[in-house]
Amino acid sequence: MAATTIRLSYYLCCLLLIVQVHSVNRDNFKTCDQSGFCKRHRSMQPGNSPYIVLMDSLKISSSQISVQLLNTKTNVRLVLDLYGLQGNTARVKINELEPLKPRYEIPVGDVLIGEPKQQDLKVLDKGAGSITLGLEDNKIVVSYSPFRIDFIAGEEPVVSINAQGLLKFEHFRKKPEAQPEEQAPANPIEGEEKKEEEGEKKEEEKKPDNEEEPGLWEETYKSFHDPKPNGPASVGIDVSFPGFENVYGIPEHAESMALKTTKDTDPYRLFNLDVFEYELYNPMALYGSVPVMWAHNEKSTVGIYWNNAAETWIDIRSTTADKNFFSKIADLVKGNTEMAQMDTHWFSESGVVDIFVMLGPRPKDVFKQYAALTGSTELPPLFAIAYHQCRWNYNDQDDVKNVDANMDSFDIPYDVIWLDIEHTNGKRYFTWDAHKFPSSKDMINGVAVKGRKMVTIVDPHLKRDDNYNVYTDAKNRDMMVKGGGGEEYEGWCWPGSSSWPDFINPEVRNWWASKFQYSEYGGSTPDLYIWNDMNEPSVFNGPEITFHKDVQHYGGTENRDVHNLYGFYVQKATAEGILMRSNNEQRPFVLTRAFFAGSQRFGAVWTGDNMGEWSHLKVSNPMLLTLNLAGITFSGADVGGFFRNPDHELQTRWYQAGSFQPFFRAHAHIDTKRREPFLLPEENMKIVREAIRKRYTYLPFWYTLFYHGFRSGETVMSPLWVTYPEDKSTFEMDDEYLLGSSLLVKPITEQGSVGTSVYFPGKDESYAGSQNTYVNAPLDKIPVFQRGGSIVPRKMRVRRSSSLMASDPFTLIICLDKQGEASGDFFKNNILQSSNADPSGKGSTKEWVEKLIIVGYPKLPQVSISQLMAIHSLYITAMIVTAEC
Amino acid sequence: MQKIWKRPRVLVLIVIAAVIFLTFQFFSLEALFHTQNKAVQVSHLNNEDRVLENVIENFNDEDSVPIELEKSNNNKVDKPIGVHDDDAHLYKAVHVKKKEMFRCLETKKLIPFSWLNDNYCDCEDSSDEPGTAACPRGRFYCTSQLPNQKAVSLPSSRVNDGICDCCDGSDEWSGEAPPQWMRHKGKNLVQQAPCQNHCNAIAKLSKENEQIRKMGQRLKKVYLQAAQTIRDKERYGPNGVFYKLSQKCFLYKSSPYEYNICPFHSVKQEHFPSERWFLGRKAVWKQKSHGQFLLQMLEGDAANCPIGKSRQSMILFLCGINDRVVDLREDEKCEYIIKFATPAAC
Repeated sequence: MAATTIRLSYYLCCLLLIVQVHSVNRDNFKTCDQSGFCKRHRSMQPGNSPYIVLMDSLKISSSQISVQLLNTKTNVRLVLDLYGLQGNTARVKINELEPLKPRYEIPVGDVLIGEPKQQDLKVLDKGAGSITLGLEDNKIVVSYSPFRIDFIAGEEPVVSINAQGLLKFEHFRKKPEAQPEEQAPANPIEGEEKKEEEGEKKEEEKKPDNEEEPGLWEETYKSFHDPKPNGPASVGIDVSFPGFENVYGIPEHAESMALKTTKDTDPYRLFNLDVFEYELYNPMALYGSVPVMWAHNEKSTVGIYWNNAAETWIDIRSTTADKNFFSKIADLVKGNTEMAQMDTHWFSESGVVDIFVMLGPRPKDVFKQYAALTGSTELPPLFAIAYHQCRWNYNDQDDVKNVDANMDSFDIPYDVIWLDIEHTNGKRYFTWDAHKFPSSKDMINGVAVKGRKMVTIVDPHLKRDDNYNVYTDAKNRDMMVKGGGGEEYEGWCWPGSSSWPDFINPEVRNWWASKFQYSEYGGSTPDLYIWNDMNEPSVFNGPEITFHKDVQHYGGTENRDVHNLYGFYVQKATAEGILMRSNNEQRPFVLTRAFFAGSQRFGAVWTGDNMGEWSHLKVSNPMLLTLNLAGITFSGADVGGFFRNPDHELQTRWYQAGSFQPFFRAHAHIDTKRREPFLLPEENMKIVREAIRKRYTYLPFWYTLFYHGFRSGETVMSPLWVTYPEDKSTFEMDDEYLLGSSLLVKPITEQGSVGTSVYFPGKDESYAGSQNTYVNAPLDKIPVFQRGGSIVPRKMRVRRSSSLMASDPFTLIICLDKQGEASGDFFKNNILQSSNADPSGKGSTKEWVEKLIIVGYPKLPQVSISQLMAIHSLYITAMIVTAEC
Repeated sequence: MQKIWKRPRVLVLIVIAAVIFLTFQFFSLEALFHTQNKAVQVSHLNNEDRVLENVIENFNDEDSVPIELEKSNNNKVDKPIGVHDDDAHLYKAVHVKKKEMFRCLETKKLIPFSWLNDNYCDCEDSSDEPGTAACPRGRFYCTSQLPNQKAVSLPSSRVNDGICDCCDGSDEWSGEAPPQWMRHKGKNLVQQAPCQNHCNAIAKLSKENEQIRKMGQRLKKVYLQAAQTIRDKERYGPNGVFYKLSQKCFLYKSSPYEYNICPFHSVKQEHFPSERWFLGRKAVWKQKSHGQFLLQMLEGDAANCPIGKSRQSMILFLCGINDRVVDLREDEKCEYIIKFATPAAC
C-alpha cells in the first residue's frame, strides 16, 4: 500500500510533487559496496580455508557431533555442531567457542516451530583426514584440513559447505582505544583480525593494512550514521550444489524463478525494505525475506535453510564441480564429462552460522522437510481464498455500501471488502474516522449479512499522541523500540511522528494481541479481519526507509540482529489477537507485507506495491512461485497493479491471472482512477465477472489444495518440475505452473496476445506430452488445463459469496488418463473455525454431489430416458476433451 | 520570523510543510467532535425532500407480515415457482408418446415434465430451473409483482441462499435460515430467511414516489418559464430547464469542508483556514437526455491532484421537489460527484 515518496510529498504539499519519479530511487538503498560487511565477505577469493578441524576436540553422541574449528591464521577457535535430524535433514551450526557475550539466535518456537527432532548419526569411517557419518541413506563427510563438509545422497555429492573456503566469522572483540585516524598501530586483537584478512585475501596484499577493513566500528550511509557498538560481527560461508544447474528460492526479489548468477550484479539481498516502485529482474531487497534455497536436477532436489534474521546477501555462481575431490573422498563421480555446480555464498551481518541441509530427494520431500522446521501454511478460512475487493481507500460507509451493492447488481461475487489507512482517525490504528465511519458495526454487519467479511489495516507504527490510548498504553508499559541512546525511538510514517512497539518481546506481542479483543478494538466485530502493512518496518525518514541498525530491542538485541523478523512478529501477534478474541475458535486471516521464514503459519503475503503494467503482471508468476517454494503458499499480487491506471485489456488479463493465483485481491493506489470490476466496459466486465466466478467454482479445489499444503508443506502454486522432476525443459519455466498436480495454468501476460504456446509435460498422458502446443486465447479465454487422470471438485452454483455456497452441491470433473482412470480427493470442514476446533474431520453436511463430468470417455453411453430418470441425481455427462481438460 | 528568512530556503520549506501538517492534524482531531451525521444539510429539510433513486431502500417494518407460503403457491396463475405470469404458458406440459414433457425454451430439448424445478439443471439454456439455483443462467421472478412496474427478477443463484431478495420473500421458499454465524439483525440490514413480506411498504413507497414525480413535473413548468426569454437555451438542458439553477448558488456542508455549488458557473470547496479550491469552473453536459442529466464542471484547481489531473465535478440532477444538494462525494482524488435534487429533472 505504501507510497513513501508520494506520501511525503503529500505532506509537503505541492513543493515536492514535481520530483516524483517513475521508478525505484536506487539512491535510497545500499549497494553491496555501501555495506561494510557485504564488501568484506564479497572480496574474499575462493581458495583453501584457513579453518581446520581440531580432531582432539571431537565429541560424538548418538545424533550429534561437536568439534572445534581453528583459524590457523588467527588462532581464533569456533565450535561446530552437526546434528542429524529426522527426515533426511542435517543441521550445521558454527558459533564462537568463547564469545565475549552470547551471539543472537532466533528463539526456538518462533521461526522453528520447535526443537527439531534428532535422528541418529552413524560413524561409518573415522580416518586421519576426515570422518564419515551416515544419516539414513546419506553420507556426511567432514574433512579436517581444510575444513569442509560434503553431503552425499546415494552415490551423488549434493551439498558441500565451505568447499570454496569462504567461511568468515567475525568474532566479538573489544573496541580498540581511540587512535589517530590515519595510522592505527596494531593492538593484539586488531592485528589478529588483520592476519585473518591477509589469509583470506592471499592474492590481494597490495592494500595498506589499515584500509582493509572499512566500516568495522562505524559506518555512514548518506546522512545516517551507524555507530556499531558491537563492532564487526558478521558471519559467512559458501554452500555448493555439485551436479546442479538451477537454484531457486530466497524471496523476496522481483526476479525470475530460476535464480541468476550474480557475477555481474550485486548479490541477492535479504533485508526487509519498503521499496517504492520497485524495479524488475534485479537482486535488490524487497519487503520480506525467506533464506531458503533449493537446488534441483533430474535426480534430486536438495536445499538449505539459513537460520539467520540479520541482513543477508547471497552470491550465486555457476561453475563445474571438483571431481578430483569427490573421487578422493568417496570414490564418486566417474566419467569424463564435466559436472555442473552451483556455488552460493551466504553472509549475514550478525548472529551465527546455522544451516539446515535438507536432502530430499524429491521436491515434495524437501517441502515436507522444510515444513517440519518452520511449519506449513495454516488452512485459510474459505472466504480468504475467494475474491477480495480493496482500494486505498473506500472513503466512508456509503462508499462501502455502494461498492457492495454494485457488485451484487452486476452479479459479481466477492467475499471481502477492505479499508486502507484513511478509515482511521488520523492514522491511529484501532480507531475509526468518526465522520466517515460513524457506525462501523452496522457497516460490517451490512456485508456480513450476505456472508461477507471486512478487513481493516493495522500497521505497527503508533502515532505519538498522548491522547491516543494505544500509544500511551505502550509507552507507559515501556514497550516501545528504543533508539541507540536508549530513548523511545521516533520516526516518521503515515501519522507523522511515530513510535514502534517492540514486537521482538513476547510480552509486547501478547499486549498487541489483546488489542483485538472486541472490548478494546471499538467498532470491530467477528467479521472483521486484519491487514498488517509497513511492517518491515517502513520509517520514512530512516536509513533505507527503515529502522536505524542500532535500534535497541528486547533482550539486548539490536535491530541489526533481528531486522528481518520484525514484520514476522507483527503478523504473528496479530494472528494471535484474532485467536484470542474468539477463544481460539476463529481461524485467523491476516495479510502481511513483510515476512520471514515461518510467516506462512500466520496468514497471507502479498507482493507489495507493484505497478499497473504488463511487466508487473508477468513477474507476478515467478514471484509467487518463488514464495510458494519458500513455504509462503498463500500469496498473491495486487490485481490491476497498485500504482498507475491499467488499461482495460491489462486489467482483464490481470483478473484472469489473479483468479488462478492463491491470494486473489484487487487493490489500487489513492491517486488511481476507480477500477472496481463493474466500472469496466461491458465486454471486459463480463470477462472479469466470468473469471471471478470461475474462481468461485474452483473453491473446493483450492480449499483441498491448501489442506494438502497444510498437512505436508507442499506448494499450492507449483513449478512444473515439482510434479515432473525429471523433465529438464521445465526447470526454468516460470510463465506456466501447476495448481497441485491437477491444473496447468498459463496466464496471458502479453499485451494484444490472442494465443500462447503451452508446454504440456509428462509422457504417458492422454495428450501428446512433453511438447509445446499453440493454444488460442482470445480476451475471454484463460489457458487452464486439467491433467488426464485427475479429478477436480468444483461447485458450479456461484452465489454472491462463498459462505452462501456452503450447502450447495459439488460437481466432479473427471479427466481420464490413457488407461481410462482418474483419481482425486477433496477436503471439507467447518469453513471458518480453527482447525483445533474440528480435529477429527467428522461432521455432517448438506452438500451432495450433483454431477460427474467425465472427460476423455471414448463414447457417449446410450441411456434411455427411463434409465436417465433413475440415475438423474447422478447424471453422467461424457464429453470429448475440451480446452479446459 | 526575520531569522528564519535568513536561513537556507530548505528551512522555509520545512516550516511551510510543518504548518500544513499541523493544520492537517488539527482537522483530523476536530473530526472527533462530529460524531453525528457527516452531512449537515443547509437547506430546509422536509418530508418532500425525497429524491427518486433508491426506491426499495427504506420500508417500514410495521407493514411487514409473515409470508403465507401456501397462499403464494396457490397463485391465480398455475405455473412453477420463479416463472413470470406472462411466461406461464411456456411452462405447460407437452405430451410426447403419452408422457408429460417440458420443452427447454431455447434449445427445444425435451425433458420429463417432472424435471422442472427439481434442483438439477437439464436445459443448457437454464430454462428448466426457474425456481431453484441449479442452472447457471437462470432467472427467478418474484411471486408478488407490483402492478404497473417493471417485473422484479433475480439471478436464480439468489434462490434459497438465506437472503430475502423479493419483497414477498418468495425467493427463500425453503425458509431455511443462514447458519448462526451469518445471522445479523439491525436497522437497514438486508433481511435473512425466514422472510417477512414487506411488499405493501414497497408499494406505498413507490406510490409516494409517483406522487412526488407528478408534483415535480408540475413545478417544472416554472423552470421552463424562467428560461423562455434566454438565448442559447440548450446550454441549460432541454428547453433551458436548468437555467433557473444557474441563477443561484447552493451551500453544502460535509465536515470539515464547506462547498459552494453554483451550477453552470463554479464549484468551490472551502476548508478554513486553508485555501479555497475550485472543484470545477467550465460547464459541459455529459448527458442530457433519457431522463439522465449529468453536468460536468471541468478545469478546477490542479494543486495536490495526481499528476496531469485537475479537479472536476459531476453534477447529477435527480427528480425532487426542492432544489438542493443531496450528496457530494470524492470517490477518487480530485473528482467530485454531486447529487442535486430539483423539479427540473422530473
